Amino acid sequence: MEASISVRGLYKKYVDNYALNDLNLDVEPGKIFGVLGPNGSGKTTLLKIISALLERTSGSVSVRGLDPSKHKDQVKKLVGYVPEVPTMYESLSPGEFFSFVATVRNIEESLVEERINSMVRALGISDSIDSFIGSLSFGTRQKVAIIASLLHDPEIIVMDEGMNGLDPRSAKILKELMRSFAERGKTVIFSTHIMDVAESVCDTVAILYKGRIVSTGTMDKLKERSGKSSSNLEEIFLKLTGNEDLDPLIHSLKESFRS
Amino acid sequence: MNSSVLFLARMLMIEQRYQAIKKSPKYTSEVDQKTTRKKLGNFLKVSYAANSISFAVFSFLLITPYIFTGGDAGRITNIGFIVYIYALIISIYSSALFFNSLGTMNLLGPVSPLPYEGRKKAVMFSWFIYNGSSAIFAVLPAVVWIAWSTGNPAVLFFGIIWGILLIMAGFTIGSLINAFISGNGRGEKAGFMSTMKSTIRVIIILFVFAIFEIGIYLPGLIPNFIPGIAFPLNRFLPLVNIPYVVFLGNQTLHGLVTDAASSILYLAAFSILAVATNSFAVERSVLLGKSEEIFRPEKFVNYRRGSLPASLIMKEVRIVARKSQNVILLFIPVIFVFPTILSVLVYGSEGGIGNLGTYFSLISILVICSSFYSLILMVSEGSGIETLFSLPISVKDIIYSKSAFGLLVFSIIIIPVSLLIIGGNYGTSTYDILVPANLILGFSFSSIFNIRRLLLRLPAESTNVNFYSFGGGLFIAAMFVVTAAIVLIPVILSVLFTIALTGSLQSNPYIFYLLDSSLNFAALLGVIFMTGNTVKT
Repeated sequence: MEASISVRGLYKKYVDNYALNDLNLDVEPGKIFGVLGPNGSGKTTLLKIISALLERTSGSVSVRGLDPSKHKDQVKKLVGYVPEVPTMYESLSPGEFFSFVATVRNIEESLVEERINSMVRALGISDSIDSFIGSLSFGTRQKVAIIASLLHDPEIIVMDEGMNGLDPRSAKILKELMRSFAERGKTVIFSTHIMDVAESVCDTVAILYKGRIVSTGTMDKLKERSGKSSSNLEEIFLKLTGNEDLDPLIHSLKESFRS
Repeated sequence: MNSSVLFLARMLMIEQRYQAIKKSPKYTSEVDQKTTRKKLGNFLKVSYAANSISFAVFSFLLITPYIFTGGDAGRITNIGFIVYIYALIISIYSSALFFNSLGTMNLLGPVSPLPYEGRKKAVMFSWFIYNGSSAIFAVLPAVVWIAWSTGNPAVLFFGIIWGILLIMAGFTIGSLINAFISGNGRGEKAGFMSTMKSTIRVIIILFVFAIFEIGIYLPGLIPNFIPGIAFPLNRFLPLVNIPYVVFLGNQTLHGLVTDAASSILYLAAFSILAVATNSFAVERSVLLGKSEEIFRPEKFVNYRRGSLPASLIMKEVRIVARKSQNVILLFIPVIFVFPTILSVLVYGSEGGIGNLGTYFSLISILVICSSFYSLILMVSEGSGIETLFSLPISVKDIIYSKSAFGLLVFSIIIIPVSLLIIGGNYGTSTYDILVPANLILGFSFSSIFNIRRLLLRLPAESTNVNFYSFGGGLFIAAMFVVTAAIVLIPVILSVLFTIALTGSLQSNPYIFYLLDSSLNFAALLGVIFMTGNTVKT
């Protein structure tokens, strides 16, 4: 099957450091792909390059056959992007923000109303629909950002820590929604720190460390490679990122306070 | 015109205001949200009207001496030049600050993931409709007066066209300046070098401006140089052609056609430039302005314990100097007052009060810097104010550290400026040192007074501080008036005492300076005593 997203030899350099270093990956359509990695490992940079929000230094990226740096608008039409920190016009209400996004994306009026109302109900933000976005809690703002990114029924959903700040009910609904998108042949790629989410939702996982993918595959394959068939994703993650034995660090930390 | 472009253009302005007020306690309650929505809608109109009126008043004050003394070609040239340069400078600064706000508040972030090219148009329209176009009021009083006094309606037509042209030029220059000073930002490390880079970039720009302004107002340059340029060069030479095209050239058909040709040529050139630089500035400063966290090799902190005052002053230096927009704000008062001072020196010193005239005109810098810096030094705290209030630091320490940093910047500006102007115009004497000394004393006591006042006005539970945290425009205007009053009291008393003691101010300036120094010093001791007893509740 042809990959929905294909990345080859991707480099991204900021001043004197590489955020991404010879990165290769393929994401198939109809799959949920999780990107895991510690802070500063390059997850956000990768997702932004895929979403045509950032230029790469070198290498190639293909999103449904399109190069995001050459066909920015076409790629943005395909993608629904949820940023790590929800960025919206805070002086608008969620309702006004959805209308603006729908107008810019040129979505049919009848479809918009139905989609907005069903998502607003499902994520439980009906009573905040007329408030300033700036006055909402982080979690509610995250829900508004998620709804806005899904309004055009995107072919590819890119979520950068999309589950951050969500209550368990909303997280469960979002997981189900992501699954249903994948079943309809769409591609979901998201980064997360929450190993349980990655383990329960993702078909494939890539572990990113210092700008490189240190391992990728299904959960079973990762377990097989780590040599511990009974281990969970957190243990595999810590082992592959060289943080398996944290005891000396924790010990030294405790000592620094005792002294 | 696409309605979403106009919607976004309006939103970019509304959002800036909302971001500034959203954390103020009075706007966070549910009840006030409806009122706030209404207020935000009115904000654009009120702010535009206030800008227009202030520009028109300032421009009118600038041309008043010429209205009463008659209008030969040389004098008309002066007015034309000064008001148009004033409009250009206003546009440059408002454009630079507008792009700066777009970048720092990430105002195009929400539309970045959307397939929407209209964002670039929206940025340009937003600035022009809600901000930049008000600069036309800086030229209108002169244009209307000359059109009326000469009975030539073409002056009105060309006057407005060239006003718009210079506003567009200001937009272009301002957007480029911002792109230059904001740098790329990606992956830059916080440290001495980044502070230095940012400061050097800003100083280079301000230096260029200072030279530019001094050049324009240099004594004798305008009346001697500009009216002597030959036709048709005088219609096409950038900037110096404005007095000819607008005021002096179009009384004949031949002149009218040449002026129209020059106007069309520049209109096309400036439009292309404005569109191109807007696109570049949006891409560089706004869309690509955010840095990412990336992996770096492990490093350790070298902690060195310093004294509390030194570490507080270093904190001020860092939070102000590492943000280009703060550095620019520190220099804005000087750049704005410069034309007035030079105008006073060139045209207003005929009364013959020697370097006292210079001292009085430099007091305007003192008043503006003291009020403006006090505000900037408070606002630069941003959300850091919550941390500052949570630490065991006395109000006195906060006031002195902020005043000390303000004083440092003010001294760097005022010492060379006052000595150069006095030395250049009147020759040097021992008493010249008293001019900057008095200005520094005046700044010291007024800035301590202002910062104390602002700090006491801020609720202890504040989580953020911005220009609107202190009660809005009316309070800020009142602060300027109060600063002017407290700074002028010692000056007025010294003038009165000098006249009472010696019978003449002009012949005994040193008596005046010594009296003023003593009174300023007494005022400084007074505010130090007041600050020592300040407790924030």
